[in-house]
Amino acid sequence: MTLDPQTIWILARATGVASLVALAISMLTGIALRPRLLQPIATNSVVSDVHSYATALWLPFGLAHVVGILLDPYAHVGLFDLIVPFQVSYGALAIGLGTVSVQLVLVVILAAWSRDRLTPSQWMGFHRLSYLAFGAAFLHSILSGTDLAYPWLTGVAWVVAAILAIASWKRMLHAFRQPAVARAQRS
Amino acid sequence: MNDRPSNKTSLIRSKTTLRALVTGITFTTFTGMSAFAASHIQNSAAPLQPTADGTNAAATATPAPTARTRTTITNQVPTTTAAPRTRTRRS
Repeated sequence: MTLDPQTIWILARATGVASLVALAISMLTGIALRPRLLQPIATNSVVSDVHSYATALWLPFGLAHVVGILLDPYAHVGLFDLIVPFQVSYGALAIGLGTVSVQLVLVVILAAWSRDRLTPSQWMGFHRLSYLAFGAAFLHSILSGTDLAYPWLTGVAWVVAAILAIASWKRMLHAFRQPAVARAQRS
Repeated sequence: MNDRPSNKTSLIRSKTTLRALVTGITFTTFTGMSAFAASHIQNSAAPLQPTADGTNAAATATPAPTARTRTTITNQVPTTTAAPRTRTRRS
């Protein structure tokens, strides 16, 4: 069975947007855990479960997007471009950000698989790379995405990004507040 | 003092329900975007546009007249009214 270039192109676009959506859900559920931001919607154990489960959603879609772009005869992206970013003859930054995102995501996944061998701070250090990975994936989709050039989808993407930014801000405030609360309780 | 809200206030307490919701959102996006992309193969507003010879190039100040070139094969034979450039010897 062979897929014609048009079908590959359609699938590459659809899987790209779907993986970004699933990645955003994974990010939101992860950020929301400590400050319990999603408590009105779901219990923390449910949110934690979905945070792990979301990987099973964005990973296949992300892989399908990468394979689709590699197979698309119009994209002119090769395996070498997956290893060395910013080398594509056109849109080097836009496409290179996608490569960086894939590489960072791989580091996060490998760290999650080797969590038992890492100290909590080491694991957290690697896990926090997912913020950069999502940022790179988001910019990649804005700067190179055919669909994210449609105003309605750009609007949705920026609303999601704003929600994630607010959640990240609250997560950061929570992290700074915790040591202060602990100090107050000790004194 | 425990200021954490009680789990009893949460709408969803089932892992399966939230998993189903998240799966539904992702797959609806995938099928929806597949249908949308199938009916919008090209987007002239896309930041990356290929040139006419099929190689991609970043959008410039002067946009290319033809966007992402995906050839459609038709059964029409191209014709021309231009005069021939070569002449054959008539016997």
